[in-house]
Amino acid sequence: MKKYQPVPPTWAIRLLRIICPAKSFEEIEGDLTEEFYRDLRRFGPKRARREFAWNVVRYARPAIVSRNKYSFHLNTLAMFSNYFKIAWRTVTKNLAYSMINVFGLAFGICACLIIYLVVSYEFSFDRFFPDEDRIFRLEITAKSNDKEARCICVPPPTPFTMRQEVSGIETVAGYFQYDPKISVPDGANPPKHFERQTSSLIIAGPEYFDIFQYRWLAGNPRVIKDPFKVVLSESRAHAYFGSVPAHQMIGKEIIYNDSLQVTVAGVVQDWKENTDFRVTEILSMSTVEGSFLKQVIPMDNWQWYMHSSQAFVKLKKGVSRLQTSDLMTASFRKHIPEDKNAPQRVELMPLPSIHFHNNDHEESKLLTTLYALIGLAGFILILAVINFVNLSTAQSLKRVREIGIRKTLGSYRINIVFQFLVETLVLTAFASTVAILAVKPALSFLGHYIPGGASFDISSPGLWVFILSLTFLTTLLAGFYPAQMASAYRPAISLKGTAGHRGSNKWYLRKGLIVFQFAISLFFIVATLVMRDQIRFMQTKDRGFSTHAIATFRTNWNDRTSRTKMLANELKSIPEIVGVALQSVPPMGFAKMTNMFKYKGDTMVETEVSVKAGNSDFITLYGFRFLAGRNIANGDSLRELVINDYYRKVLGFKNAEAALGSLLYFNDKPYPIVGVVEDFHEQSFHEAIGPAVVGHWNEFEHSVAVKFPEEVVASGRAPEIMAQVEKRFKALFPDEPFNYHFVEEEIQWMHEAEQKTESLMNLSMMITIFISCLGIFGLSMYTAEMRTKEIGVRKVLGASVFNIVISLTNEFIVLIAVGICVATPIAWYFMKDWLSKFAYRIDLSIVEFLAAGAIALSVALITMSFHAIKSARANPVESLRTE
Amino acid sequence: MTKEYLGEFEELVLILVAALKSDAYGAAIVAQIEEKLNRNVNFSGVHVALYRLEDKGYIRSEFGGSTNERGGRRKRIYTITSAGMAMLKTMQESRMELWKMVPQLKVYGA
Repeated sequence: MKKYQPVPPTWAIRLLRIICPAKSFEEIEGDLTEEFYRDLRRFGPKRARREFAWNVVRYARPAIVSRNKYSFHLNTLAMFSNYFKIAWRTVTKNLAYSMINVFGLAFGICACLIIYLVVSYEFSFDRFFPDEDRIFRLEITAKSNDKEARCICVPPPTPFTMRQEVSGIETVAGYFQYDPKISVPDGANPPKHFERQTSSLIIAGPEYFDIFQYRWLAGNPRVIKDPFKVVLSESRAHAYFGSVPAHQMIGKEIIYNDSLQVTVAGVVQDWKENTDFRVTEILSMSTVEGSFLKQVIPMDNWQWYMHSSQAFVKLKKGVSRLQTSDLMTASFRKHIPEDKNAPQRVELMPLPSIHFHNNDHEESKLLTTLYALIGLAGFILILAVINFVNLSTAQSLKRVREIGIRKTLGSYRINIVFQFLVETLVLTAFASTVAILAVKPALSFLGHYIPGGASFDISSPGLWVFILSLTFLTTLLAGFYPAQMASAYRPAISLKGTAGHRGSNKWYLRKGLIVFQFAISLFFIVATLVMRDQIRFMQTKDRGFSTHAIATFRTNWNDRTSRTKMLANELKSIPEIVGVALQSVPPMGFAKMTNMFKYKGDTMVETEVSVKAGNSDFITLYGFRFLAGRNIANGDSLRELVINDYYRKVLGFKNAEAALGSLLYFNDKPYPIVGVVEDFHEQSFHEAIGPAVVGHWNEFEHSVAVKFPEEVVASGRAPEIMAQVEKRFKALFPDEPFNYHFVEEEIQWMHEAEQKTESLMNLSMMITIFISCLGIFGLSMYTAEMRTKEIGVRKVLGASVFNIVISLTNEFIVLIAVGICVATPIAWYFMKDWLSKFAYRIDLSIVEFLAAGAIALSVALITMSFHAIKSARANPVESLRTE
Repeated sequence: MTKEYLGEFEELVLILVAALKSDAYGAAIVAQIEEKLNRNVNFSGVHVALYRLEDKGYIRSEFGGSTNERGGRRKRIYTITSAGMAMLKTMQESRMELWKMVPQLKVYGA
C-alpha cells in the first residue's frame, strides 16, 4: 500500500495559475513545492499547506500580475472593430427588428430616467445643511386607542429645559411660527402693507443660527439676542425695501400687527438648494417678553401643544439618536402632568426625513409613491428587456451559420458572447440616445405628475453616471442570455444550417417571458378599471347633502366682532347669490371638529361627536334632508341641536321621531334635539360616517358659504360674482386674504391621491400594453417570416386565410391566456386590499376581470393579425420560390 | 539615460545569483537568504526581484533539471551576465569610496 503523502492544496495551485504569467508558472510552482516539502519536514503538513497557500496569495501583487501577457487582448482589440462592423450590418439588415428593440428599450430607459429625476429631486431635500446627520426635529408622540398620534410640536418651555437637563446635546433651538400683519413705514408716504404669509416668519433665539448656518450678507448671528430685532432673508428684504445693498437695510423698521415696531439687524442669503425651510423672517425671541406676543405665546405652559411651536436639536458628535430620545422623554415626563392616556415620548426625526413627514400622519404618502415609482421603472425596463431577449434569441437562429464559421475559424465561446454583447450595446446606446432626446418632451407631457423642481439638467454629472450605468446594466440584462445561447451552438451541427442548440427547452424561457409580460399588462388593466370605477363611485354617490354651486371662504378665525354676520347679510343683496350661510367648516372637507356629548337616558351615553357649527341657513343651503323635526333657529347663542341618523342610533332611539325633544349635554348644559337629518359624509370615503350634530355656535362661525343659481356656474360667471363678494369682504376685513373654494373642489382634493394613483395606473397600463404588444409584434413578424414556406405549402394544399391566421397566432393566444390566468388572482388580491382602505367602496366584480382579459387578448390579436394576415394572403408562388 | 541603480534587495539577490552559480534558482535563493542572513523573505518578492534583474539584463535564465522534490517541475536557473557583474563591481567600488570618507570609522589598534 502506498504511503500517504501530503501534497500542496490544489486550489492554491489553480489560483497561482490564474495569477502568474504562463511562462513563469512552472518555475514558481516548482519553487513553492520545494518550499512546501521543506516546510513539511520542519513544521508538519498543516502548517506547510498553510504556508503554501499564503505564499501563493502573496503572488497577487502588481509586479507579478502585470507580467501576464494577455495575448488574447490584442486579438480582441483587433476583433473589436469587426464586432462593431458586424453589429452595424446586423442592425441595418434587420431594420424592423432593430427598430422594435431600440424603441422598446428607449421607452424603458426614458421611463427610468424620468423616474430617476423625480426620485433624486425628492430625495435631495434638506441634505445640504452642514452637520445634517446630527440635526433632528423634536416630535411628541403618544399612543391612544392603539393608534400612534404624532405631533410636530413641543410645549414652549421644552427647548430650554432640554438644554439644561439632557446631556449629549450641542444645541436645542425652539421657535414659534407666527403670521402677523406686516407694514413697512415708507418715509412721508403711507406705510406699505404686506399680506400675511403662512409659516414664513418665526420667532427664534440665537441657537437657531447655531443649527442652521446661514450665509450672512449683513449682520451676524449674535444680533438676534437683542429684543425688537429681526433678520430677513435676501429675497424678503428686497420685497420690503426694494433693491438696496444689504448693509443699508440694517436699522430699517418693520411694524407687526400695527403695534410691534422692530428694526432689521441682519440679512441672510436665501437657501438655494431644495429645502422645506421656507423661513424668510426671523424675529428675536427676547422680543416676546416686552410685547403683546406675551399673550400669544405662553412661554412656560407645558400643556400648549401647537404646531406653531417647534424645535430642532443638534447632537454632539457620536451621540446616539435613540439614547437622546430616551433621555429627553425622561426629562419631558418630569414636567408634564400625569396623563390618563399612554405616556408621551419625545422622538427625534432626522433632518433628511423631514421632507417625507411634513405633517402628523404616521405614514408618508410621498415615500410610498416614490417606492412605487421606482418599482414601476424597474417593471417597464424589464418588459422592454424581455422583448429584446425574445427577439434576439429568435433571431440568433438565423445566424447559426455565422457562429459556426466563427467557431471553426478559431473563436472561443467568450469571443462570440462578447460579439453579441457589443451588438446589444450598440442597440442600447441608440435607445439611450433616443431616450435622452425624448425626456424633455415627455417631462412636459407629464407635467401634471412631475414636481416642479425635477428638471432635466444635462450638466449634472450624477445624471450621466446614471445614464451610463443604466445603459450598461440594460446591455447586460438584455444581451447576456441571447449571447450565452447563441454562443452555445455547436459548430459541426450548426454549419449544416440547422439549429445546433441542445433540445428545445429554450423555448420555455421565451414562453415564460411572454406570459410574464401579459400577466403584468393584465394586472395594470384590472387596476385601472377598478380604480376608475371606485373614483366614479366616490364622485357620484349621494353624500347626504348637496354641494352643487356652493363656494366658501373664511373671514378671520380670531374675530370677536360680528363682522362675519354683517358680511353674510350684505351678500344676500347680490342678486346672483341665492343663499348665504354662516359656518365653521363645510359639511365635508379636511377640517373636522369633535366634542364630547352626553345623553342621560336609561343609561348614560357619552360620545365623541363631530360638530358642525352653522346658522339655520347652513342646513337649507346644503340641502340636508330631514327625517324628522325641524331646522335650528338662529339666535345669539347655542340653543338647540340637529343630529344625524347615525347618532340617533348610537343614542338608542327606535326612530327619528323618538329622538325629538331629548336633551343632549354639552359642557354640562342641556340642549334639545329639534331635528334628525339623513347621514351625510364628512370626510373622505376612507372614513366611515360617525355621529354628528349641527348647532348654531356663533363663536365658531367664521366661514361663509354662498350658493349660486345653476346657470351662473354653467355660464362661468362665478369668478365675476366672487369679485363682487371680495369687494365687500375687503371693506370689512381689509387685512385678510380672500381665498374661496368651491365645496366640490375641496371634496375632489380629498380624493386627489386616489385620482393621481388612478392616472398613474392608466399610464402604466398604456406603457405595459404598448411594450408587450411591441414584443409580440416582433415575434409574430418573425414567426411569419420563418414559416413563409410552410404557409405557401398549406395554401397550395387548400388552407384558407383564416386557417393560416389561426395557426400563426394560436401559440401566442395560449400564452396570453395563461398570462391572464396567472395575473387574475394576484390582481384580485391587490385590488381587494386597495379597496379595503375605503369605508365606502364598490364590490370587485368578475366583469372587470373579463373586460381586462378581453382588452388584453384583443389588443394582442390586432397586433399579431397584422403580420398573420399579410403572410396568409401572400401569393404561395412567391413564398415557395424563396431560397 | 540616468545611471542604473539597484535597490538593496535586488542587489542582494544579484549577489546570490552570482554566488550560487549553477544552482541559482528561486527556492535556493530564498533558502540562502534565510540561512545566511537570518532574514525572512517571501517567495513572490524574490521572484519579482529576479524578473526585474532579468529585464534590466543583469541576469539571464534557462530551464534546468527537475527533481522529485519539486513535483516534477523544472527549475529556472539564473546566471549573472557580464553587465550584471560590472554593475556589482561598480556598486561595490562606489560603496568603498564612500566608506573611506567616513572618518570615525577608522580602526585604531584593535
